[in-house]
Amino acid sequence: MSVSLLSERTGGSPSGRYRPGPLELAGLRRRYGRTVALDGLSFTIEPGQIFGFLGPNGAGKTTAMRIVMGIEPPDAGAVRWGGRLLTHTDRLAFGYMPEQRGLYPKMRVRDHLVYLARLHGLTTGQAAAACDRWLRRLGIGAKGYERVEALSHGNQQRVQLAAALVHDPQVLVLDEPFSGLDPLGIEDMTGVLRELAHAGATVVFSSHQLDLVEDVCEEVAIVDRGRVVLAGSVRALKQRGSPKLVVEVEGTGSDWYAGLPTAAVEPTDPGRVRVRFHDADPQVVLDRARAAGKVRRFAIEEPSLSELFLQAVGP
Amino acid sequence: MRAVSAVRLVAVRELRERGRSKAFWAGTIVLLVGVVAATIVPAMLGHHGPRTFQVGTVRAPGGLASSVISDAAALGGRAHVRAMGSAIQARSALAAQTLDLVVEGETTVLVQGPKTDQSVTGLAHLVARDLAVKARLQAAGLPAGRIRGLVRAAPAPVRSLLPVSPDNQASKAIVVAGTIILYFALTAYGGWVTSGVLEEKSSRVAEVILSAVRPPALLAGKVIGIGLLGLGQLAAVALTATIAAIAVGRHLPPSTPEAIGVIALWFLLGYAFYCSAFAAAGAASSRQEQAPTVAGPLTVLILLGYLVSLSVLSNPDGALARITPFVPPLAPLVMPVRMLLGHPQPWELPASAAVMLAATYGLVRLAGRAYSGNILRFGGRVTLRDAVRP
Repeated sequence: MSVSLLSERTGGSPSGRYRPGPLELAGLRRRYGRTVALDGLSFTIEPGQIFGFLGPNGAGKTTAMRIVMGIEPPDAGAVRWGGRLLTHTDRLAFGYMPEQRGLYPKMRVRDHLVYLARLHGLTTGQAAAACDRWLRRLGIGAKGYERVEALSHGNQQRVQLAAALVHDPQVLVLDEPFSGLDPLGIEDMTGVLRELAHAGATVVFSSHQLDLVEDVCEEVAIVDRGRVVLAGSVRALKQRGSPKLVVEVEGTGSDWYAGLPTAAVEPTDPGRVRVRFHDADPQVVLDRARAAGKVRRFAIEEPSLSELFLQAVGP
Repeated sequence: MRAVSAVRLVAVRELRERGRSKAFWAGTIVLLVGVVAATIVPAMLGHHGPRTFQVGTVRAPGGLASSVISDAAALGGRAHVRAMGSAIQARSALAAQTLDLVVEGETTVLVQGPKTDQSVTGLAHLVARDLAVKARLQAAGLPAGRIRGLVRAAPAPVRSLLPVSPDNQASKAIVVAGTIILYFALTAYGGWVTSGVLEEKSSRVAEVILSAVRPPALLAGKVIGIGLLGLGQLAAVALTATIAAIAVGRHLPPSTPEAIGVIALWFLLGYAFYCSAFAAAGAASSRQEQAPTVAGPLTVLILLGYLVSLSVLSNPDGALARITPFVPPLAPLVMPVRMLLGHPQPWELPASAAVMLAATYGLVRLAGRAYSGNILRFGGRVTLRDAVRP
């Protein structure tokens, strides 16, 4: 579906809607008893991009997002937006999808979304228009008068996303938005996020599935134990990491790669072997492989985000 | 968004969603039917007009019947006097309650016993006294014609020092009904607050809402919405009861509007006091089945207030009635009884309300903090110390 969000957006020209300025998390600290959730977490998100906030379970992602949304106070540190301390009023221009999804089960979908939009400061008329637009855009236009609890799981997820979007937020904070979605759902979600970022919104989402989302985001901050271990544009990070050389050779013994810095050796088909190398000279490897048998594959691969993460936190 | 608009939006949602629920309407209908029944049924079963006493006589002296009839008239009733064939016949009729009273010969007056009501006992005493006086006069040698006139002399009127009017009885009935309704209202609406807060917590919608609304505004909106709905339900009950009472010709004292006003005032004060504590109870639970345990102490306090109000009802100017209006958890149930049936000093209402409001302020702050601290805390039950820690 290619309905443009912008042409129907309430409130006039889209370019004027978005307040330029980065969202900045500065030195956030938070502990629960003896557990340190955030240990001086800092990063900056520029508007108009999709920012991935990645890390394993328990890294402090949810705590950081709750602090951004003002649901939890930090023990120390600050969140700034456009250079100023973020206030409660500012946050009404934020959309939030918590990790623990939740809506009023007995409320009708439309009433629910209109209520949320009104809480974010829209008038009744604006709220109703925005609600209808988002329900259509997310393909659940016919479900507006059903109770939330009567919907399928997938449709409840869509309503949950609509709940974060219905007031046309300038900043979108999504905690594990892809969890529980099938590949089609992930593609739908990605499409919506790209459209919003393209229109100038700031989109930040968290995920513990690093490789699943590396195509979605332009910039990432990868966290571990409450601290950023890697940050920057996905492309730059990958280029900075050491590339892998992958070679598949058919009809050969196992001695041709002896003495080269191999990372992994896996037999694929009978009489065929796939070898990965670190820091090996491609020319040397290629000469050896050609001498040994038929080269079926010869590729220089960029490291995945999870490999970069493991390199960063590894011993 | 200003906090006021947020509170209004939350309250309106609460009113609308609850007002739409079948449970609410079912509860309201049951309540209204109950109130109408409580008003109409006693009126239908009640004795209308003067009571007629069934009196049997065995070997009675002449002139007894007219003497019994005038005694019954002195009690505001009538007497139907029958001469019975034998004492056995008379006693079995008495045992079967076809007779209220049996006079045997000139000295014995019999009543059934366990099932004898007060008016029959009163008549029995009057008849026995007449018989005794008559026997004395006979012994003194007075002629029978004189005796009849002396015994049947009209009794001197008895007057009350303090006026007893039907209004007092009716006011008491209104206060009794009002206290029962107050007890149920505080418990029920408190329960709504607890389950409403818990619903937000257990469905996890609280996190979405709290990203736009601060906890105090969410709490205030919820409490105000439920309070307004409750007040509306109470108003419907009061109106229905009044209409039903007028329809069946019940006597309504002129103080009825005042009684309704006083009960409404103390409902508001009591609800304001208890609601934030009920909300804190909801936020401190994680599952529906925990809520009654956590809210239990509150419902016990309300029950205690009701029990105290019952004893204040019988002695509305006693020590208990003078002290408990200054004990905030009890005051909402006790003070209406004291105000409507007792003779409070003019300063007692403002003083009691002031103590109540001060306590409410303290409780709202404490319970509000517990609510904010727990509404997003999932998992096990929250300890009291955890709950109030900032």
